[in-house]
Amino acid sequence: MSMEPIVAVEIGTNRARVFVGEAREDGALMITAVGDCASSGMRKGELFHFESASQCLERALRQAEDAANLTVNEVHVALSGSQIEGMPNRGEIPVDGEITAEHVEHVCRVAREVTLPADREILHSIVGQFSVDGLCGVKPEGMVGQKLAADVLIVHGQHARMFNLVRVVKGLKLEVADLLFSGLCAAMSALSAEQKLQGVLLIDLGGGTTDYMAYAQAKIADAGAIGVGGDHVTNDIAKAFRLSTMEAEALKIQHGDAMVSAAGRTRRLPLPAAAGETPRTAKLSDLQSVIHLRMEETFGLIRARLQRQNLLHLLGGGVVLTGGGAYLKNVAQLAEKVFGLPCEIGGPRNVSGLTANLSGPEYATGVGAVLCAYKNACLRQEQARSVWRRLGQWFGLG
Amino acid sequence: MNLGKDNQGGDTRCRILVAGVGGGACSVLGRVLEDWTEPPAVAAVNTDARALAESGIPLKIQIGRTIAKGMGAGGDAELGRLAASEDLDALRALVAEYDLLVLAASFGGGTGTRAAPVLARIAREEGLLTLAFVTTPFAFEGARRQEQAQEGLAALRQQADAVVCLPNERLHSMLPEGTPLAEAFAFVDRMMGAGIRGLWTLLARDNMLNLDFSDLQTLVENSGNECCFGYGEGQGPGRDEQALTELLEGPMLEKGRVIANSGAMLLCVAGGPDLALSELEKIHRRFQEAARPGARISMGAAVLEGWSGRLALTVLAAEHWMPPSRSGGDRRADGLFDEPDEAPPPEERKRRSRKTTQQSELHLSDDRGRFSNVAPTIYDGADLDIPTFMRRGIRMPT
Repeated sequence: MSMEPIVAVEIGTNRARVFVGEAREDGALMITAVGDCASSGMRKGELFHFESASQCLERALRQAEDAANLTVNEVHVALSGSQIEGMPNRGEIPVDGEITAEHVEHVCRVAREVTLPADREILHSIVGQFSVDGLCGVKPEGMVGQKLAADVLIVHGQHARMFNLVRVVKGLKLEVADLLFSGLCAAMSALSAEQKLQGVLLIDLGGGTTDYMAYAQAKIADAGAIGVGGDHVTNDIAKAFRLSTMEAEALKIQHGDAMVSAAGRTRRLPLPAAAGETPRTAKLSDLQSVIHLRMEETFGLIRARLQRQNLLHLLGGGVVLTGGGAYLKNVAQLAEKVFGLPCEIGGPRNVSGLTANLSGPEYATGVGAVLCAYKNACLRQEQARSVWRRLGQWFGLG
Repeated sequence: MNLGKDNQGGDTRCRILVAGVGGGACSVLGRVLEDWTEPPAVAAVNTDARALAESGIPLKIQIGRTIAKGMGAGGDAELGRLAASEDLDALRALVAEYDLLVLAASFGGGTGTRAAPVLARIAREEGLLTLAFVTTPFAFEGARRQEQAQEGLAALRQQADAVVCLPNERLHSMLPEGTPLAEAFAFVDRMMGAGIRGLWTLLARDNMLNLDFSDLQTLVENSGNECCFGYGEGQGPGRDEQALTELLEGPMLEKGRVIANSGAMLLCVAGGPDLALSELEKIHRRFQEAARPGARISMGAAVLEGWSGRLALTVLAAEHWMPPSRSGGDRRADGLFDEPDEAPPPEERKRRSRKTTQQSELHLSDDRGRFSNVAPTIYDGADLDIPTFMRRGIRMPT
């Protein structure tokens, strides 16, 4: 089974990244090249300035092309933004007697039929579980019953905002193979099958947005994005201590902490001052509380949403944090406190041949996007084969 | 600017041209004109000579005589663009005398889709403020028309000061199931007509409570090129409630979500001689409650003959509102903060300044720091771009 190299792009709020993946002989996926460029032109996961976003992506793309020695024509795009929402939906059909593959296909189609406002578009519709006559989580084919239901999660976003990103990509003479929700991508690469089975919450702490994806009973139960990210933490620091964005960012990276410590109350940090100004200092604990309040609030918003969906008690596998924001000191500890669940920092894991410099949490989304695209491609090949097989059977050749 | 006494000759009132581009919009305007007692200047711009001849609109501009040979553009958008480019001078002469161009077009077809951006460009070159009302096709009209409409929208957004998009799909959900096709289209036309008319009524006549051109200008110029439009109507007792319900809970403004997100809006109330101040007050209050804190709400009211027992509410809201700079603030103080509880003469309104409101808003936008230029992240009524510690009232000792 040969396959063209798969290229995924992630136009994040702070970084534009391009990943090239190739399938090995044994079917495992390998990341063969990466392009990475500091991104501007994006705010909160959405396009803010077309030209600069386009330039950054182009630079990252050329890097990856040079490293992989290929010309990229088609890419899979991972995207985020506060406009992305998850919507659970259920489809039901009456059946009479044994449930066939056609029934299953039909009920999935019904479950995917939703009316969205005209400016919104479906990104993914993920089939969660089937139930037959109220019995949940069954494998319906071959069962006998009267009512077949399918639960799906519809992930949708605002057309215009997504279209803006597509325009950036198309502006570089690239075809967009598909759009992928970056939270789903991160989950794809950072979560193990066992975690999904136990129920797990993935939170991707990006620069401009915080994406989340909840699995319960091995199925995707909820997904969404909040338009708050690491940039907000930086902005809060800048406002609190009257610093420029750059100075605030440096302070966050060097001394940032999601928990307020006792030691922080006595320690003072020097603040950058312009020449001629009297040097200023700030208490470390003040910096810690600014960050703590913001992160606690963001986690709290996700927690409230999961609680409304009655999902919190199904997350036995705990919380996994990915994205650049996962580097924030004590962020896992804070998440444990907010959710009351064990929490770990995750990174891409379901890909072979990953070198150490790609295993950080910030690469989960990009690597996941390649993985997502790869799985989809495999699925399509599989389907194509099964169609031929079925045709063969019809003609008595199977 | 709002002191002119009537709509004829040499006055200082805003001179409005309403122009329909393409067959769809021309027929909408034709129908609106039928029961419009004192209509503004209305022009029809089309390639189709026969449709123009049959139209009831007095001012007719046929474009692209050579290229379209007097026929419709036949759904070919490129032809529409070329046709308009052929008659730049005629279009320029058309708009030259006016201050505001209200452009109407049904997107998806040939002439409207690409000729409208050309007209908008010329209006911009001639110094007019351009507000475009555009409908996009129903989904069943096919992907090609959708695509063409999206491209047209992108082009129009670059030229017009603000685009009010009425996606047919969204209006679709307002109609009961099984509505005949003709009725569905008629409904859309009515909505578009109502919007244009509501706006014009408030701007061009002498009213009980005027909105002036600078109000509209402020809204439109800082709207980030995109406005949302809503229309609600009520009759008999409880008419104000009916109109409010239709607007705030109907799909046109996404059940009030648009209002909650908008930083500024214009409210136009039209009623009969029995229009009561308490009704205006209620409407204003309800919008204030629905809008985000600090949103600019300006309101105007018109009393129309023969409208007894009727009340219509037209809203123009800017979701991507970017507060104007400090220097521009003074100009705006005159009309934008009018309250409906009293209707002082315009001169007096002009003088009355609302310093408190304005200062708090400037302060607020300052708190948003690097996010002050992007659409706010509103979650449960809180602007998440403002640092958490500030929203919780925690003071930082620096």
